[in-house]
Amino acid sequence: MGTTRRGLVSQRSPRFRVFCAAKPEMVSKVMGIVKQQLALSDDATLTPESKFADLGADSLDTVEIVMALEEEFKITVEEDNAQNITSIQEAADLIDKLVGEEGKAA
Amino acid sequence: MTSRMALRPHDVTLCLSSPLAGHRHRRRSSRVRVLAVASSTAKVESKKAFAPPREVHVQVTHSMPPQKIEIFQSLDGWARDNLLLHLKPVEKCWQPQDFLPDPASDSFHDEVKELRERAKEIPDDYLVCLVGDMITEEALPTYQTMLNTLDGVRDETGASPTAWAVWTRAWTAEENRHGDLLNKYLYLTGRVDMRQIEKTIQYLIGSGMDPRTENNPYLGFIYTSFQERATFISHGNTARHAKDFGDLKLAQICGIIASDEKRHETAYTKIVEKLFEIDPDGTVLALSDMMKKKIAMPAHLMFDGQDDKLFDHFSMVAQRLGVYTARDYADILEFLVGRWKVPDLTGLSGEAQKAQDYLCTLAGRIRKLDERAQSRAKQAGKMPFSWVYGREVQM
Repeated sequence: MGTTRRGLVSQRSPRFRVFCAAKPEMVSKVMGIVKQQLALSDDATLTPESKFADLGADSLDTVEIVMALEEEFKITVEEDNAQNITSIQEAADLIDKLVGEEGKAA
Repeated sequence: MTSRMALRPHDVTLCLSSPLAGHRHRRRSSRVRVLAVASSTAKVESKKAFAPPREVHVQVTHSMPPQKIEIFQSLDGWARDNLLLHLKPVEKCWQPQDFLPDPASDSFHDEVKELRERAKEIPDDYLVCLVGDMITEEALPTYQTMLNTLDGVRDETGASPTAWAVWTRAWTAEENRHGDLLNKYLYLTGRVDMRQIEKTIQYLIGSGMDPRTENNPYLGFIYTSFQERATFISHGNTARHAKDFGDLKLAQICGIIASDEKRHETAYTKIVEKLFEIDPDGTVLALSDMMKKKIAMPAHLMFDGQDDKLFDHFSMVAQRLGVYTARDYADILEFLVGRWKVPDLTGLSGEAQKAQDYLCTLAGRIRKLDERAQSRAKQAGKMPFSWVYGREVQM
């Protein structure tokens, strides 16, 4: 977590996609969606580790966040995966994984 | 327990009906006004095999500030004049015997035979819903108890003369006929395993229920308002189905029970209306709190000695048959928000305004969730129900 872009490029083999920490743009996109869902101000400080529950999300908010992420990134989140999304980083990582899989499938 | 995220229609109901939002440890959001000192964390006790499921919330108690108890004392006169008139005098009340074969009559055996003939046409999935409803009604001791946990309105002695206590006893007495009637009817049909049902009832009364009303009559009467409307809708639906299956007597039975529930709904919503009048801030916060905690179904702790997820499975059948659905939940919420004129409240504190905003959009959010769940619904399997001798029912 928290690796720089340079660090990712140098470490990863180009031939297969390693499941590792998502890119910063992904994280910030997720943050944007979370801020909107929870009606947080633009300058509210979120970190990748921020947990939805700590930001004031109830269970309905969390489901809606996942729904919004599905729409934004054109992915489908399965039950089991969705259970494990409790923070921004976890959301970004899952999206990364699913987008990657869908890219391969296409 | 299945995930919330699958957004199957049943999951939406669960999401919305269980105070335990998944088996996650969920600390109460700091945005919600904490009515109690302690925060409430949901834990599921690790169960031994075949132990009845038990949700262990940290029990929050007496969350209403003590000075508000006076409100209810001062409303005793109001309750006497405005609440008790929703009770029916016993002499004018229907009794279970009015809808059952008369054992004193020569035609008793024929009447029972007819009853059983009609009941043969009723499919198992519908019977499961009816049995679930009956078990819920039979857990009445829990509900009378629950009313008597509420500060300011409890029956202090069992024979207290306050209008509140008179209401609670008489309400209980009226409800008592519902379980009796459904029990006797189902017994006579011969279509259901009475022993399993009786066992389920014993487990359920033993388990109690935790609607998280915290001895707080604001929360308590909001809860009962919601519940009475829910049972009105549910019994109304089973009545309609019975008619479709050609059992007009059963349709009558469900219908007469539904009419009681409607009358009770009127009474409870009237109390909350009064609370909105004298304490709009406190009441809107209470409504928001209950909706955030989600309205738990009274029988959600049900267990029959075999199925660990009995309530889930029963709910799924009820959802599929349209007896009680996530959509109904949203409709009830919307109705109550309208009935209590929540959007029109003025002069609210900042926190109360947030609660007001939350409440005014909540039904829409729930519906959207449900629509999405419906569109992605996967075919659920069949499940044996011990209530019908282990016959399998589509969920």
